[in-house]
Amino acid sequence: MAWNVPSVFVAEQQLTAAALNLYLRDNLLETETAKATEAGQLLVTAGPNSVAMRKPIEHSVNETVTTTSTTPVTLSGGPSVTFTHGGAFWVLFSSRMRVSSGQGGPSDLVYCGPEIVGGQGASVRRSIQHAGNPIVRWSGHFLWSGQPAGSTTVRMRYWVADSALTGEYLARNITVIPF
Amino acid sequence: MAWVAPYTFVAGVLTADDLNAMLRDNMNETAPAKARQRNSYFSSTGANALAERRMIQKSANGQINISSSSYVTAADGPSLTVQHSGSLLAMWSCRMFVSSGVDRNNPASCSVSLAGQQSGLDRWAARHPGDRADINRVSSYNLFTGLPPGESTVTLVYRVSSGSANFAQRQLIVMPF
Repeated sequence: MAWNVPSVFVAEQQLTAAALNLYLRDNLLETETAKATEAGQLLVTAGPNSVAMRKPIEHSVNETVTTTSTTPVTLSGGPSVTFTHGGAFWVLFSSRMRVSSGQGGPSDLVYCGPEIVGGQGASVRRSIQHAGNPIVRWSGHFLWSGQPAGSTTVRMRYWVADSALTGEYLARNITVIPF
Repeated sequence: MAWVAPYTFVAGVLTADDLNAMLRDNMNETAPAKARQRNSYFSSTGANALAERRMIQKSANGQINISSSSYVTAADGPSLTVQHSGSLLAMWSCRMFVSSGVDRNNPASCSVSLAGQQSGLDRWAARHPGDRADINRVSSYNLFTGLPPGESTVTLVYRVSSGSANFAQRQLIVMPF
């Protein structure tokens, strides 16, 4: 189905079943109310004369994990979320984190950040980072746009600035508001 | 009123009942019919049902001193009450200053609580890095899901592991779905 530009009715026009099905039934089926399938969905546009209902989603993992990898890696539990969108989505991510061993200076950073599975990878530019031994929660956010519409998986990746460092992470979260 | 699943018209008489069910009642269930104010958005309350929602913010700029090791509220909150369909996004920030006796691995925290909830708040708490004499603005967020639909109050709460800490310029934003 698609939206049919409502026609102008004129006097004496015979109102046919075909016209009612086109302008009333079919257009009603294109409204946000017809497309809502469960509670908590957000009304967004999907293109000209097209709307969609998107569901905000989150994944939290409390498990503590560590890495000494200097390139982004996936660690136990993720977190990871799969969602449907129209080409843009807002990702919020956070973790409690610290340098659990090997720290020598303020540049000894441990990182984590989101990546699109099969797409744009994790990057320092989209990461949260920490240089100290005390455990701190950091949070970050990134609005992806211009992506192919459809189903996408975003997952958290972890890495450290130097392999002598051990990054420790817990209470990790990814939240996505799809548009 | 409730949404009436659009049906297929066939040749014959178009009744007032048809128009009232398919046209009037269904139009009244759409977003324009339900919009009451500027700057709102719509989320679903269930299948084929919508509600107007509004993102709101509250700030409390004054400085408070907290010495409790369990989460406590402040007289000026901030606190926000929203209507939702079972989920809401809370985002908050504040400036923190650890004034004495901090445990560097378990420092001052600022979190949010729903309806007086006390457990699990550390999982999404914003935390001070732990170095004395450093003033830091920290922020955090949490998407609460699976809530009973209806009204919920989100309140900023504070604690320290030991000693005391100052919290100022406290800000809370809630986006209900």
